Amino acid sequence: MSNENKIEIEKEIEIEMEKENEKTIEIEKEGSGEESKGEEENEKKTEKEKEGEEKKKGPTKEQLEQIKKKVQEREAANEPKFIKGVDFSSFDIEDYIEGYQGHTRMDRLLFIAQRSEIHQQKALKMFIEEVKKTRNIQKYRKIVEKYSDVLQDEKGLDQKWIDKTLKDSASTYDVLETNLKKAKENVNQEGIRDGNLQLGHFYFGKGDLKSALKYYSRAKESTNDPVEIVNCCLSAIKTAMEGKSYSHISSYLNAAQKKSEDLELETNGILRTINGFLSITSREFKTAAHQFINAPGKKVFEYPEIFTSLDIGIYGGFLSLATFNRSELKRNILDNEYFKNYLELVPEMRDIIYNFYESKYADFVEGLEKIKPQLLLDQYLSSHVERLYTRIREKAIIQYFSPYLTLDMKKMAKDFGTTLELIEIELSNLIAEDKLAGKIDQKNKILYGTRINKRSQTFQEVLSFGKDYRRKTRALLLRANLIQNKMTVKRPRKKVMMGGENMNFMNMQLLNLMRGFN
Amino acid sequence: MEQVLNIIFQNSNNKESLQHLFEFLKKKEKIINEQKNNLDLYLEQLHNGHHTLGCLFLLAAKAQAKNYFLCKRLAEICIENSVPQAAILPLYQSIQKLQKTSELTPAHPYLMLVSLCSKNFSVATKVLEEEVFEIESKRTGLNIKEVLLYFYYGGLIWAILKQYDRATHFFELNISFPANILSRIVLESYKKFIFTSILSTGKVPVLPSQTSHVVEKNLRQFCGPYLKFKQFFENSNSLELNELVVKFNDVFGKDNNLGLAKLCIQNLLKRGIQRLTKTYITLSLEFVAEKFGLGSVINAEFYILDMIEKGEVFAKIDQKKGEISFHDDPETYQSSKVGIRMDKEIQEVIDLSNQIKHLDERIMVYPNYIMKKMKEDYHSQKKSEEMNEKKMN
Repeated sequence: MSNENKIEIEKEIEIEMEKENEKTIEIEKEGSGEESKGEEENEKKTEKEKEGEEKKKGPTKEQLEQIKKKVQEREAANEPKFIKGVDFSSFDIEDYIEGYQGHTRMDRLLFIAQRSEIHQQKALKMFIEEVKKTRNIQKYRKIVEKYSDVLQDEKGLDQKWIDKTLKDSASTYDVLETNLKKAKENVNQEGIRDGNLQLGHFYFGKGDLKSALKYYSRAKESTNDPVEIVNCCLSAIKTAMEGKSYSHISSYLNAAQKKSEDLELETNGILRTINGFLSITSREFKTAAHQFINAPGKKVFEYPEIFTSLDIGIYGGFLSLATFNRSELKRNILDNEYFKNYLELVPEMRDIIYNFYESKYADFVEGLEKIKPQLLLDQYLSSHVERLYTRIREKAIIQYFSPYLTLDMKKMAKDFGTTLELIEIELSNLIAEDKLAGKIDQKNKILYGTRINKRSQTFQEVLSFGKDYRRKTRALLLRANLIQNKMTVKRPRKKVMMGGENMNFMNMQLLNLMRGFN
Repeated sequence: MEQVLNIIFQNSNNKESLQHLFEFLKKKEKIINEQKNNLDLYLEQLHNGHHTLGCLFLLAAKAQAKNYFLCKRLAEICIENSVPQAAILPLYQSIQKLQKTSELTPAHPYLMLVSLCSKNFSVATKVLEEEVFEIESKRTGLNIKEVLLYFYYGGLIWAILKQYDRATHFFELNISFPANILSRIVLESYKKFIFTSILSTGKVPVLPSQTSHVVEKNLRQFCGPYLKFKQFFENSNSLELNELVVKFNDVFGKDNNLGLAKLCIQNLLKRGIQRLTKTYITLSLEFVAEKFGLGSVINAEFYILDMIEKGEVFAKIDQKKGEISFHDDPETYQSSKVGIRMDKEIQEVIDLSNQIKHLDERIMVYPNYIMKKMKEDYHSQKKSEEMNEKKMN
């Protein structure tokens, strides 16, 4: 194993050891807290003490191995797996990756390689090409070693490239450092900002995301020009997105948007899309849809290092299909001039939306299935695809049934491309969740729309509300009376009486009364 | 009190002043009542023959306080001697005679207790039907334990009579009373509350907001198996529920709640079938048997027949084809019965709102309240003056 990996694992072992130590301290505390009630208990206590002492001395070999095992298991659990059950053959990697630039190419290719079995080899090869354009030696090493059995040609580490890159980074680093020092000595604001920015780019290329963020934020603070600030923020956001640090993304996004609020900058578009991206991660799909649709505005949208204009079309269209109702769909998509241009870039998505709107369900379902592989292989959308697909399907079913009073379930099953049994299960689930107002005639396989008798419903509601009101009011009156009479459930007063016995409140009262009797 | 005695002495001699004395004594009734403990002293001072009116008032005051103690002793004695039913009628009559309208007296819980012991609920139901919410602890000597007991026993009686809705209400009252500590009665009420609310509505409602924090916190601590039962019921898994009851058999048994628990499990099936009426118009018996694990078609038919007879579901069974067809609730709310019912309920609501108005008027004249209000007004006035000064400066 390489040195860096070893350090990582040792760190993990240290953390595990700390945890074990904490546990031993707890066990000792428990052991001492227990009251010894018998000989057996005494023996147990001393045993535990002994164990505690042993553990304190240091972890045994067995325990170290156990910890290593745990670390490995955890790593294995977080491993990305292939997506099964979907045919990815229609997906063209080169077409997909064409629009992107910079690091995002690398990340997206890796994502595809890990999810699609068919494309793994090709994607990995393209990934290696990309990674060699950066200075990220660690990533290169990690991936080549991990997938060495899949990569047949490029199996070995390209040591030449590694050495060259090391030398290169060392010399670039020296140059950049001296530049920055000079700028600081001369108190050259422009120079300082530029120096910090360049160092940030340098670390970003190396894959050291933390340092990159550090320098980007210094660059941002050393200037007052809003355009420059937004630029620094965007670089920071790019870094944070690669590192999946959502808190950083949102803080830099806020800073950038504050500065560029009033100005009509070209970067406003990309900032809005990043907002949309954050909404997706927090599962606010409707807000995200709005943000993507309104992102470009009148300006041309250009920031291929994170999202392309195709992405806007896909994300905006897909999210709005899942979350908008009919009128919203019409207003925001079909009548929206600016967004239409972006939708045209992805004709499949456009067709799906139009088919849905015009109730052409067979084509709609077909188109939806066709576009699924592409969405599943998109880095940011993949984990939400299934959920959104279920939502879209539900909406389609509800819309399909809405004009009918009675509907033949066989026809419905055919139109939605499923069997009669499956559609019956889907329908009964929807009805049980109150999303569909209907009843199933299982004998004749017909779905009936319900005519709710509003009059009886009103009567029922009124009568139950009346009963509820009367009960609650009486309960409150009772409570008011209790409080007025100063009656609460409280600890009974204990008083010592002649004879030394403790008597409670009730008995006191009784005694008084009895005395009154005599 | 001394004054009263003097006036009794003075005026007991001639007939005219007796009238005055009567009116005077009536006014002073409150003072006389408060002297409960020392009434004997004063009685000795008055001679029965000469001062009859005075004696009468004093004796009446003495009687009121003692009456309820009598009730309790009566109940205890009857239970000890295994004739609880003997106490029912006397207690009922004492309630009727001594009770002001809608008032809760100490005799109430003992009547309930005695009815439970003798398993004779006809009288108790009459008393339970009347909604009680007035309390005058000074006059009646009622204490909080008796209040809790009344609602606990009352809830038990309603549950035995299968009126789970009312039982739930009584137990809920117990749980939400003002409290500083958790009482055993409240704890048991909560346990039964879970079961009866499941039996009446299929779910356990959130505790009312007036429930004291002490009660809420401690309830969770002591009712572990019950809360698990509630969770499993909500997940509608009858197998798990059965296992849970078997596992905690002794816990439920100790609290005498096994019967309720088993009823709840049966209820799960009923709820499931009722949910089906929402989604289906016709259904095959096979489907029902399969979905609820009833074993055979015959079992399913039996269950649904039972439910139809009890009016828990509205359906028809076609035995030849093995199908059930559900139809809507045939109640159309158009009969005169409904009209009469609405009238009665509207009247009750009007009465209630009158009561609230009275309570409001009483509070408004209450000296403590007036003082508080005056203080508040004074403070807020001062504050607004300070604000104005600041603005001007």
